[in-house]
Amino acid sequence: MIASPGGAPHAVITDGRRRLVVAVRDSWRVQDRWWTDDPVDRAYFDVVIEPGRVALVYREASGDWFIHG
Amino acid sequence: MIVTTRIPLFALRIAVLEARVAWDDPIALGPAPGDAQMIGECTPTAWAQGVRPGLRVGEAMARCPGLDLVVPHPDAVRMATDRVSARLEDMGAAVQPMDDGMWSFMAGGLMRLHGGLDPLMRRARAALPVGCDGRVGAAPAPFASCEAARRGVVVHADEVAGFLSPLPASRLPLAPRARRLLSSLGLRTIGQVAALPHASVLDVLGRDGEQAWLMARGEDEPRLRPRVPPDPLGEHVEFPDSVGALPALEAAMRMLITRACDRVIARGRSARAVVLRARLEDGGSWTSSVALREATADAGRIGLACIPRLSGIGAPVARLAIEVDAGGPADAGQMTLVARPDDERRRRAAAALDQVRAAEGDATVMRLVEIEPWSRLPERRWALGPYEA
Repeated sequence: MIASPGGAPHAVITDGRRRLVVAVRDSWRVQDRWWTDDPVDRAYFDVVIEPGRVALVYREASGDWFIHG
Repeated sequence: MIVTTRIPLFALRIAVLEARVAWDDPIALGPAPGDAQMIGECTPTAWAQGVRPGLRVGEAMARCPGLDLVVPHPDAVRMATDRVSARLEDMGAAVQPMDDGMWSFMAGGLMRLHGGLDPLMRRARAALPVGCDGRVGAAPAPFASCEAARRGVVVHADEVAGFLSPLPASRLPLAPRARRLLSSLGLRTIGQVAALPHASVLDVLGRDGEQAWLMARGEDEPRLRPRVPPDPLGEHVEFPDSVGALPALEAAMRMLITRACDRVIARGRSARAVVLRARLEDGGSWTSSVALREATADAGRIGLACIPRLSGIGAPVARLAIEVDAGGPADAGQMTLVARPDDERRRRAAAALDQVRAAEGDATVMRLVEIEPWSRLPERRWALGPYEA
């Protein structure tokens, strides 16, 4: 995942190919399970990548990026 | 030809028999518990002394001080109706029980079976109870046949108009409002109604009026809807002391329904209709019939349909009974003859998945299971579980 300076993803690497993010449809923060030993703190981005596919990506508090699905 | 048998003053006769009083006395049918204080049918002796159906009880007693009121017995009337229907069915007739103590059936093939219309009518007359002044009539149309049964005559097709014409228009099955309208228009006989133009009848009296107009002309559909002979199955409970509390009656009814359903299931059938009966403390009775939307042997579903009816009982109950028509099919839920294409597709898919699991192992086919659909974390909303066909 390649992040832009503002924190939003600039491009997504999926299936071994680099695909540019065309639009960020939505973004939100999830802080959950804070009462457990495995708390969750994620910044979600609902993005449209080339050539028009929708993807849900998130960044952990550690700075690692993941893609759902 | 439609043959109709009739027992005049049927409900009154049953009530008189139940009350064990003499028919020759001035007797009238009293109001049912909770009903308006009006009297119903009355015996000829009471009629001769000025008593008329629909009079207030006080006025009837004033006209005939010796008048004896008997309690209506809808339960016994229903049982007697079923018994007469069964006796007519025994001679091969497909019987439609009508209101007011009448039973109609198509003569059709029965005439050949019994050797003509007259022998058939004699046979029908013999099927009625002795001493009840039973009468049999026949006509080509249902309404004319009922009127013929009042007099015990046969009316042929070319005589229908002349036969019906002088009869009072009040005999037509019309709503009270339509009846008042006819009266205000000065139409007193069926012949006068029959002479009205079709369009005017439709305009003023509507569809019901049109049906009555066709009856008046002897042109009503010569078709009956015979009953399906029931396959009755009954349960009852006698209370040591009469019960008036609704919760107690409901509990008793639940028990009766459960017992009846067990017997229905044991017969391998399902219930199509239920009749609830109660003998009241004061000697009267109450009855209510429930036609189930679809045949079932499920006590819960039958209870849902029946138990609310118990609130209609207006007096303490000495005996509560249920009669179930167990004429429904065993598999009452079967709705289609041919299997749906979806079922076949699902069966083939299940067979294919079984083959994949057998070849590649159980972990190759998994089922997606919803676990926390409310979670904000997508991976917690769903999980993969083992697939079982």
